[in-house]
Amino acid sequence: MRITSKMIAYNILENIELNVERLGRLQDMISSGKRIKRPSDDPVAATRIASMRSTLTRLEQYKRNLDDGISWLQFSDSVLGNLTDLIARIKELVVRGANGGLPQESMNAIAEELKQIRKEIISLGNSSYMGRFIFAGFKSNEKPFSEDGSYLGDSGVIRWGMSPGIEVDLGIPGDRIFSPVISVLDSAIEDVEKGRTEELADERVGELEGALDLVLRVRADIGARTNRLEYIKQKMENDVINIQDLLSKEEDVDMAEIIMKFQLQDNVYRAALAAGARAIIPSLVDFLK
Amino acid sequence: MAGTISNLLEIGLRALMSNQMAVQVSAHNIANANTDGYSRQKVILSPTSPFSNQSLAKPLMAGQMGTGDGVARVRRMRDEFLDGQYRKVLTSVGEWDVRADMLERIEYLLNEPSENGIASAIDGFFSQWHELSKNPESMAVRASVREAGSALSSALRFLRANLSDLKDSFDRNIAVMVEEINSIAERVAELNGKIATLKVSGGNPSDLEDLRDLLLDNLSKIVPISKWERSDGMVDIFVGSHALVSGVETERLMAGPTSNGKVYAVWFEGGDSFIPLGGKLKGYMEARETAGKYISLLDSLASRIIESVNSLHRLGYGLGGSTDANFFSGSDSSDIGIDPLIEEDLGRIAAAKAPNAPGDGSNALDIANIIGSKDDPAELFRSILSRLGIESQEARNSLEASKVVEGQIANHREAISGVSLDEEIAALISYQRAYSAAARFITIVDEMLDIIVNRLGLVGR
Repeated sequence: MRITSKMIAYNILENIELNVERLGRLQDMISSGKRIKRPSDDPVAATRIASMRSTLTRLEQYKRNLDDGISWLQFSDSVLGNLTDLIARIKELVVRGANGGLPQESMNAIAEELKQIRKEIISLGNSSYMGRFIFAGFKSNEKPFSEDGSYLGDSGVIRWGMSPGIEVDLGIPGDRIFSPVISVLDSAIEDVEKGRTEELADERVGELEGALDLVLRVRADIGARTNRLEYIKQKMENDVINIQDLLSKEEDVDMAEIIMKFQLQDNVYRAALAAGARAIIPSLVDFLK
Repeated sequence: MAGTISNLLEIGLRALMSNQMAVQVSAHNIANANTDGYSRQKVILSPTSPFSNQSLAKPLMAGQMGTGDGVARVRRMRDEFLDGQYRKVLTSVGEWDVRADMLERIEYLLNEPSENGIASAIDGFFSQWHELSKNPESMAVRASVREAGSALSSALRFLRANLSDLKDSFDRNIAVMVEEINSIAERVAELNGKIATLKVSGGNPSDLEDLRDLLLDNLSKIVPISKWERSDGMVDIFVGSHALVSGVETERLMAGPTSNGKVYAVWFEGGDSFIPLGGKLKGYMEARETAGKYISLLDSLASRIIESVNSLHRLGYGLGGSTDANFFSGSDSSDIGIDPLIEEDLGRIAAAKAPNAPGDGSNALDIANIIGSKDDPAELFRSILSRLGIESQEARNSLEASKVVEGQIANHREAISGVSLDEEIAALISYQRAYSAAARFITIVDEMLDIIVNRLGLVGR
């Protein structure tokens, strides 16, 4: 084949341009740290990256939901803990009143304390957390218990999405726990005031035990739900780490590898330049007198 | 009469002239070593006609008497077959070049994978619905939902507007390409005329032929052409089965909007329609279709978002008991936006499934759960992304492959038609030596004449 100087120059130029382009691409990868700039660099990986990013956003959201849900349940549990203590105190007072033989003043003092406790219970029922009344069902922007102890909320149960396909109940409508306690308490106050020791002993004590049992069961349920959320959260944290790891493998540059490639490419580029510098210039003209 | 002195002078003169001409051709080659489209020229020297025997009795002699040399012709070193091959591959380079470039531009417009493209806008929007499901009473969270919806809408509208501009720009490209075809065709026809005139008068139109071939190279980047060479040196150029250039005549191509005014079409001035089968022109016509395809994919994404969110939203209740309300207005990516009633009153965002239940976020949760369902718009968007990635990768690979072939054929052409400086210098040296020798020969003849004129017949003087 005839080789002309133009051919050599053209080929050298072509190769140098190719080398510069490759160097540029590697340089870009090193400086951005990303392997894929646009979908056509690797369509499969690009789709996977987009999908993993979307999953990560979703998991992060679920993690926030879980954190918020767990603190909500913990708050509910501490409110119900106070309620448990108050019920125990009511029972103590009722048992004392049922003993009989107490002077009316003492009975009145008991009644007075029970009334104070009633106020406290109503204020517990009106507890608010993160700007909402948590025992009001769906009517969460108004106090669910009026001063006379009647329930103004509804029976809606607030539930949050905690992971794909899993929704967990968080809200406890107040009429399920507070209303029974208040109604026993109301009867007890009346009995104490009227000195009906038999009713106190026979009925109120048993009813209080029933109420206590109810509250404890709800608390056990809250505990179980908290544990479940903690478990889901732990699993989700693992998932997030795994996906971040996969995402990084898919989109991040392996620096050691890329820098080595860059060095190699740089050598090739320099060699091409050196070859060009030697090959372009000489012709027969240079060797004639 | 064989062998007169004046014959000798004539031979010397011819040698001087033909070698001088050969030097001139070499100089022309060197001068054009870097000219685009130039084909190396070669002087073909051949002996002039010998004397036949002059004797009346025709006695046989040892051989014919030579009369020197002359330039038979100047040949243009060119391989027509390679030209055809080269033009075919140029057509394919032209088409893929346009296609790869257009798809790359769509990729840049989409700006994915990134943390601020449409994909993250979709994820962010549905994430806000999750927050709303947790805090349905909160006006601040409701405002965030509206903002995320509005950000998603404007991202979709912006991308759509950009794609639309891109699509329209191809119509202008089509018009430019058609103008270029016409201008090349006219120049080819003009060159046809000059070449034919030169050939008739026995001239040598090598350089004009080079110019015409270069024009044909450029033309074949735009449309695939076929060439028919006439005996008078003119070429007819066909695109498809229609003559674009015949002799010194051309038929112009026209480009303009079709009757429905939507897209540009191309037709011959005479009325025949024209559909290019390759080259940049086809590339641009297809690019317009491709951009249109991605616009309609974007529209289907937007309408899926609008419909899936609205249909759930209509089932829910706002804070004031409003129901059967849309969240998004519009129907596709050109007009998606937040419903004006929602813009007016955030309380109308339907987070609850029942009236008068401010703490109920279950409808918001249903909307958040569109992600991961069969209507998942993020999934649809990813499928668009993957389609674009594959198409663009294919175009890039095809472009690179045809460029490699182009380079190889260009090298082959250069091997035949390219000027080698070494070769030309070597030729110059040998012609120069021959020229010097011829001059010396004329001196010798001169001396011979001197003998005859000045010294003959001087015996006894």
